[in-house]
Amino acid sequence: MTAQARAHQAQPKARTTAARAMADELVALGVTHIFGHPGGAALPLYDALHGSPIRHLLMRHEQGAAHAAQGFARATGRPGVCLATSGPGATNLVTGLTDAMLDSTPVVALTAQVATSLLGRDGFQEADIVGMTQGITKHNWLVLEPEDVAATVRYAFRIAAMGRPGPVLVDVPRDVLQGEASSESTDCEGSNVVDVQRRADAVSLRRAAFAISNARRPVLYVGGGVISSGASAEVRRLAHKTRIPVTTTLMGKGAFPETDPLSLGMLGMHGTAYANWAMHESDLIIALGARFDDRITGKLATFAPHAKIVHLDIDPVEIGKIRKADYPLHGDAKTVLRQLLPLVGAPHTNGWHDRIAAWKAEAPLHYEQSGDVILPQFAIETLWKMTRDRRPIVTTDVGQHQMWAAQFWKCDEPNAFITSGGLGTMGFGLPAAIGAQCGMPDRLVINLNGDGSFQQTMQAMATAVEENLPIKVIVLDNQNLGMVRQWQDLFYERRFFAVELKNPDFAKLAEAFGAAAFRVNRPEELVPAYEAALAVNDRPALVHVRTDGNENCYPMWPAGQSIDTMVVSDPRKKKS
Amino acid sequence: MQQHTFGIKAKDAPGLMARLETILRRQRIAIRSFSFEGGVGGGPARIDIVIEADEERSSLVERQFMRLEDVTEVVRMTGTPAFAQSEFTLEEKTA
Repeated sequence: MTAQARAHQAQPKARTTAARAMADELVALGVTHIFGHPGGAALPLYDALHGSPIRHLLMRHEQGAAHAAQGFARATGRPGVCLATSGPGATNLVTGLTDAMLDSTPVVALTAQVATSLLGRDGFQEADIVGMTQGITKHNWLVLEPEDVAATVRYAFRIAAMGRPGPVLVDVPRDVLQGEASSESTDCEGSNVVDVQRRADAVSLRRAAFAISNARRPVLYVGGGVISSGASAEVRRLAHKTRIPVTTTLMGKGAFPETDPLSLGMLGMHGTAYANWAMHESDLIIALGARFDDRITGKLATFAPHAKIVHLDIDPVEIGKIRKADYPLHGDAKTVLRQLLPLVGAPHTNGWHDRIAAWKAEAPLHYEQSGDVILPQFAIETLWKMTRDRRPIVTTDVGQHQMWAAQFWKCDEPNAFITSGGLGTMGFGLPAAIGAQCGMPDRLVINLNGDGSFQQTMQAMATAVEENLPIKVIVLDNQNLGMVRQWQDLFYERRFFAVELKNPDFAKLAEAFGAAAFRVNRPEELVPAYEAALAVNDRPALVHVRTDGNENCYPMWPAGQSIDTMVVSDPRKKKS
Repeated sequence: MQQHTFGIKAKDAPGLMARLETILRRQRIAIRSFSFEGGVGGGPARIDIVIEADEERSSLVERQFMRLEDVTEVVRMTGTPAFAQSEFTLEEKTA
């Protein structure tokens, strides 16, 4: 230790409150935005944040706060932060944290708790949020010593972002926040934590490289882990070097350019027919940061029956969890792909490309916009064509519109398609757009929404107006819970029940919040309305688009069924 | 289905057993036997858990145990008596 360091250590450390130390630690960690909602127990922290350079967005519901933190994280790659008070404030975060867990999104949730003297005594607004969130966070903490608060927050950020990202929660009782703590950062329990394995071992790499180089019908199956890892460039290099076609999951959209000729688009239940056929016929599936979700595999016993599996994932739990990996690669996608690239050669796949080209010609994504009723696919694709040169970030909600967005919104770069994949949380899209716009203030942020899902968190519009966020919200209003209706249509003999929505006038509603609003009832009104919305730069703009309530989303196969049950296009419509 | 025994070292913190149990519950695996020895002087706690599961699920929960932030070591002890069983055997012999 140097004399200077010894002198520094000998100096008396300044004292402050734990809440102030936490606020200072957040600044030191580079936090720029917090999405929160105050309450009694959280007031010491809110007081400490008063005058802080961190921008606090007052969300109107804590679920929205969690989703906004997710949107921020997914757009920027940095942990998003949400903040709630004890009891209902904390429990309202649960949906968003579960969503972040399933989609591996780094979110740090800060919750205030009742005073330690009331813990376990059913105090007012007491909820055991640490107990509740044990299974839906990477880790969580109840901090009982003021001196530990700032260090735990620092540790929490590291855990959220390290390895496979995910949500963490730090719960701090009110009296602990008010307690005295050092104003200087101290080491915490996690300071010596060893980072996760990043490199794959040489033997596994060589085996995988040999399999790839000698495959005849290979497919790259790319998931959200590639985006988390920042490995999109490496995936492009691998695909172009080997000429292997690429399909992406919903979470992996943008990890490989969907306008690239090698792209097969999204696979799975509502994926392209040719992506699913390619997977089914493949002799080698190279899974990169993907987890063989049931919406991808359908009936597992019949999924990709001829394929060997290369499975690269940073989380060893995922490797072989659903489908046995013949060539497991444990490590970080970016690091391992850089190891792998020099080892692979281009396999002989010419006949394979011909088959895929034939499938693409046989069953392209298709719709026919005619007449006065707007098809949702047309509404989405029109906006994509109008904005693609501006590199927009799009967030979606959940339901039919989400699947049509996945099909027709061609995404060419990572972190630009933000959706709720694993949990399928209605209400995700609007607050996620708020978070994304905060993280990327210079980018065009568009939220594609449905009428049902918009109404689950639409109060977040107040926050967007308050913060002058120029997000574009497109409400595709088919007056139904469309995806549920589709299932009742196809699998419950059209016994429609509890799916029809008597909706408000969304344009008037948006105006009441203070947003710009536009209404579209006919196809020819779409472009002018989009142009007008895109011209609004000082506040949110909402476009209320009335769409066809009878339209179903295809391709589709029934849940749990094999790919040969896939219905490629609407049997009620014949291609002209 | 067979019995599997895991020896786990973890940071001795409240909620540790709940985290382990959550993993088992999600896999619909009941604990057949377990023993817990708290950490001494800030040292790690030691837990032995005996479960009944097929090989695939026992392998999955083993990796999920290891993913827990507080867990530092998971040793598969299948085929050797669990800590609790050893103690029981010892008492039997003593008697």
